[in-house]
Amino acid sequence: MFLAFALLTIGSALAMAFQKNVIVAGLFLVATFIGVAGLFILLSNPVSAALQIIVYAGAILVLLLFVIMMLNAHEEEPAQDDLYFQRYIALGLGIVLIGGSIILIRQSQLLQSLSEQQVHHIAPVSLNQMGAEMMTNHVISFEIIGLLLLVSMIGAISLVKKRL
Amino acid sequence: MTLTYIQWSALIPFLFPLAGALVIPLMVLTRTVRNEKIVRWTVWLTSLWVLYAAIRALMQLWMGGHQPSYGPLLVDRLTQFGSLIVLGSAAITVLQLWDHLHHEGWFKGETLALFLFSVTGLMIFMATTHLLVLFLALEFFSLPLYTLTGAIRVRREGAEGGLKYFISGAVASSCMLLGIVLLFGLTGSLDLMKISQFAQQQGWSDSLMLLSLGLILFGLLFKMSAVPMHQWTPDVYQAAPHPISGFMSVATKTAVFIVFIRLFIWGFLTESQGLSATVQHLLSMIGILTLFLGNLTALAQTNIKRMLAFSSIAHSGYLLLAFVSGTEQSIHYIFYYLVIYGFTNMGLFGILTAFGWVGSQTDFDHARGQGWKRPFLGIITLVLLLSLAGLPPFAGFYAKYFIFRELISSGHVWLAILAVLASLVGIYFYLRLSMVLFMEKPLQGFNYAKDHHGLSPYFWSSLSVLICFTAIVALSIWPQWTLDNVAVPTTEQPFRLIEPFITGN
Repeated sequence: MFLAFALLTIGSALAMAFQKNVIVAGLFLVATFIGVAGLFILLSNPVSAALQIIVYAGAILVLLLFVIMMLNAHEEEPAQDDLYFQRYIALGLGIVLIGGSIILIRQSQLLQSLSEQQVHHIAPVSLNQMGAEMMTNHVISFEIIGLLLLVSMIGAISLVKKRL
Repeated sequence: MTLTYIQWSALIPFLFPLAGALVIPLMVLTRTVRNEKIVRWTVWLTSLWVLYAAIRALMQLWMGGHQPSYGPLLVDRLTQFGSLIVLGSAAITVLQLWDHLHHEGWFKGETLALFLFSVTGLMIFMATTHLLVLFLALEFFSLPLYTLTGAIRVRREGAEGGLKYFISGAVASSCMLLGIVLLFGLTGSLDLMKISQFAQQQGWSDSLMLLSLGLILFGLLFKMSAVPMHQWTPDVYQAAPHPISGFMSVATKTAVFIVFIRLFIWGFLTESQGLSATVQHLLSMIGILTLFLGNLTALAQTNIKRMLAFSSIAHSGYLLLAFVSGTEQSIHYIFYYLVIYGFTNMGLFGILTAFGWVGSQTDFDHARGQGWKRPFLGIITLVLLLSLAGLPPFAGFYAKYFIFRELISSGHVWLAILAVLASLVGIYFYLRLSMVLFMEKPLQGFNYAKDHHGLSPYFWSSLSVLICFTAIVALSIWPQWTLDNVAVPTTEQPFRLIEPFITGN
């Protein structure tokens, strides 16, 4: 189960990055979100899974697709110069990063001991619990996220405001 | 939920700038041009007032020796010190923004609101002991700065610098987030206290623990523009409005160093000598690289703002070297350095506005002979530059001297020699700007700032520069006083004495 969802997430994320047509890329993003939602369910957190699908796949992506269609920018613009040289450096560094992280993960004893621990059944998180947790223990983080959204709104407006 | 008196006193310093930031966008909701002037004054005075109120609240805490906390926000001496620098530089920035924004031909209320949001974010960033809040605060102060960098759309570099800052900043903060998440997965907690306890029992020998530590360090080094991650700095400082560049170079850097001390020196690295040595080696290498690259690249610059950007990179190098000696005194010297660096850099970026070098007119050619035209500002510039270069009678000298002395006494003689060599290189380009100001004749056919009688046509920015100048002169006369009364008390009652708040995870 985990592998299926993980592959769905990674595969569609890669497909999204390599897709030239922006709208198809957006649809691949939906598949990524569904994969992430599946991972949330496996972590016995159905609330986050539902939120993931309702908010991201449902609302944000539709908005995104609307914007793309409104701007009428279906195709990616060709780059001005191809930067082949940098592309190879990036490829090499990427391989080093992936290889390095695989080695580090295999070396880690702490991770090994975590995986050997007995898996005990966790009751699924309810919406009630999550709300209570957010409003008590994590109230400061909750407030900051709210302010963060406000800041990004004000910032976006002030960047495009016509009358200065 | 009712808050106790102590919890309120911890929250109040954050609430003032936040309230200002929330009220200002409502104040500018006017459609008539007629009362625009009144709106501008109201908005400007409001932001000055909230900053003053927050400074007063913090000063009361500092004077009384109170160190209250609320949830993951810990207003200890470290937070108070850092917040005072951030709020002070913010107040100076607001003074300068009045002139600069009028100068650029626009004045948006949102600018000040975003600026105050950024101030609040920086304060939360320094105060928090919870890694989730830390990351959120990082975003909270970065997002307004990205926007402010690209705020002047009339200038071509504006959008470019803003976008560059946004993309590279996003990479750095996602690296930091990855580090935090790894640490959470391994230790089962996001609370700094619990993670430190876990690390003391288990040690940092595990490869993934080291990786997460490295990723968090990467994010912090990016924000303090240490060398492999410094490329964004000159472009962004050049693109941003002058006062905002000054604010970024002072307040952001101070906040990141404060967080570095809280996370690494007081949190992760206690009682684990092996790792401390590794981190010290790493920091000494990065520090020396930063110093040399910053100072040498600054030699080749023809733009004052880019030169100041590279000089601020070099100053990160000095501060990083101070960590290498790793004694209690070296932490005091870092605080001392931050105070002096703050006043000097705020002054120098303010001078750009006070001279009236608008927008991208900040090449050395624009400064030719301007020192004679406004001798008052010219002499202040000279003093500030000499202080930044670290020449003896001025405060900057003591700051550097203390750090070098500590390096030598802890046995890093070679590092000290290299650092002195790098700062000798630095003297050249600081003096070059003074030469340009006083010794060279204005070029023909250049659009110099308009001729006015009197000291400077820009009252508020000149006032802010004068404040910085007075502070630097005072600090040069009484260096020991600052060290004893500001730097040393900051380390009283460090973080380890405080119990973790969040009980859940």
